[in-house]
Amino acid sequence: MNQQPDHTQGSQADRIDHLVDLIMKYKRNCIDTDEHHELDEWIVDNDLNMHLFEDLTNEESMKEAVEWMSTARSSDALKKLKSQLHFERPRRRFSILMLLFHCTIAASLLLLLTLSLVVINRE
Amino acid sequence: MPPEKENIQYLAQSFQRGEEQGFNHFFNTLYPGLLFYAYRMINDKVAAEDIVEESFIKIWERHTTFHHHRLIKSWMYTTVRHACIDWHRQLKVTQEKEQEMAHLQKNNTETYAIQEMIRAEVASEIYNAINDLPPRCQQVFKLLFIEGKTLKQAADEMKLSIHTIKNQRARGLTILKKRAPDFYLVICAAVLLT
Repeated sequence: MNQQPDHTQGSQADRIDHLVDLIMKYKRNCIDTDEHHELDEWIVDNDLNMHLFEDLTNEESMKEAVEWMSTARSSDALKKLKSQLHFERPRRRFSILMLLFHCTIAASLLLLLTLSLVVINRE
Repeated sequence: MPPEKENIQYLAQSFQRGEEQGFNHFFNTLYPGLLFYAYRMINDKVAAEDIVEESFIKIWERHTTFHHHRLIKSWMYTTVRHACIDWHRQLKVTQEKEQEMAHLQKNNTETYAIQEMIRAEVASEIYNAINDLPPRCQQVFKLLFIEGKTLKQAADEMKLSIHTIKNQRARGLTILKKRAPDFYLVICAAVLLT
């Protein structure tokens, strides 16, 4: 299996993300009419969608799923993985404030140097 | 709190550059859902853990090709799905029980895989909402809903006033209500925080 990210994968993921978004909006009672219509179309498209939607809006079923996820030993898995992976050193985020800070220091040093030279020359 | 869209994209870039921060973010947000997804596909938790971990290793070998957070997620789900199919194929070789075969056929369909992806994603939304509660809220939730302590007992233990405990409880519930609306979330939170 040698997969590369492609547009097909992206569009399917977008579709799934959109459906998840619609379902969550429905659960939050903040779905608008058009979105509700779109969700309805997906639900009645086939029996599997209908059953899945019933499951996703069933409190017990979702509680079971979340309970199951809570048993995932994420930190152990992360620790194990990190011991096998190589990481790059983080690149510093560009900051205008940082740039101004460095410019100020450089300007101050230059000024100090110029003044010193002037004083030395006069003497 | 969950990262903003711009920040998610920054984290995707950090992932692409091979930085630990980017890896941590995508691991923490995707791992529980992917594990749940793999488990639903193969019904074996230990094998599911191996599949998800190996998938993270595989994606890290080519992290430079991922420039968008959605690509990372979709690639991970696709890779886990393929690994689950391979797992079933191996099972087919070693076990020839009719029941197992029926399970295999059911779980190998494209539709089933997509359905389970949606299920895992919706459950992840709720799971991550609880996980993203501020630490103090989590502690209050734990004392009140897991250990079953009264407001006064929780206040004494945390050396806070009852008023503060009430505020933290309300704050936690408001956050959960916004991100994960189901009424039973308080119970889920209690389970999760054990």
